[in-house]
Amino acid sequence: MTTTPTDLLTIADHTFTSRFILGSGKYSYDLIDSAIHQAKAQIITMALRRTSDTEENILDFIPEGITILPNTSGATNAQEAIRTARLARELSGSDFIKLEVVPDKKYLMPDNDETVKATEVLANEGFIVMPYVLPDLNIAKRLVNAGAATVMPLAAPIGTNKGLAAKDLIQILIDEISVPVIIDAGIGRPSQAAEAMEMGADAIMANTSMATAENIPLMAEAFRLGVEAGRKAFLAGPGRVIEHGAVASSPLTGLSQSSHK
Amino acid sequence: MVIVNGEPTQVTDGQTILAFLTARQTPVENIVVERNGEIVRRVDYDTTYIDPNDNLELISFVGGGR
Repeated sequence: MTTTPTDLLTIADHTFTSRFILGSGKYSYDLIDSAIHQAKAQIITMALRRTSDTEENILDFIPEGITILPNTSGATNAQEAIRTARLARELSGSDFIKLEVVPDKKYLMPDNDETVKATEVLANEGFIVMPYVLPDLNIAKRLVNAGAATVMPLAAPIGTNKGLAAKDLIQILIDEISVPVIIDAGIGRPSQAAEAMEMGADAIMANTSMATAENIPLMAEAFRLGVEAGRKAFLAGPGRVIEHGAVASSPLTGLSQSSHK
Repeated sequence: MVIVNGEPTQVTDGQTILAFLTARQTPVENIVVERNGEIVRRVDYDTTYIDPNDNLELISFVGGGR
């Protein structure tokens, strides 16, 4: 349990006790099981590519009961993303799709407009659409209207480990968007995951920050603890900040006086 | 010549998709097949015959995402 049995992440009509979604890129498949175990992740994302006769099948490394969240990575427009999503559904047998439309190769910036277009089509086809976007309130509203099950804003460009570079814009989504807001890219350290959860994010997705760590399962555990700590802090209601001066926490009366002159 | 994942590939005349996959030892449960841009349902593999000018894409899951 991440916090209490009643603190569930709900995506469409599916519920999860974990608020940490794992990526599966850039690391050896034989570490996936221990990463999932240490992260206590219940959802793992993976990509689709042409079959290779030489590569192992990633599905052989996924433990029972883990929800597979196929993504449309590689798609550069709505049409390509829709095609990939349909292939993914045939392959996984599940309606979950992490929608990524990324035409930009330098910064890997998602195309928000194409993402809205693809969301409309896929949601109409019964997909549980989880779109990856630049954090923009108007786009997020359009995605919700189009049937998105979540909104997944980037914290910083994919794979950079830069943390909450888009913090203020993400906070607006958290405050205003009714579906779960899941922070999707750029989270580099467990402390950043904790901060995002303290802000009220519903979940965190990370991969590179673990895949590039020296000890992947240990970093997965650290992330799980960061996400859990941040979630508990959010539920507890963080204390206020005093911008100027200080406020003593011990009594100001009853001070003992020294008898020495 | 049949194109499989972008590569010209020799395919026995009149072969079904199931026979083709079996011959190349590709586990059926791990892939999805797209034939000329259309997904072929798994239940149809043994009744779908490959034509000489077909373009087949064989797709699987791989590690990826963030």
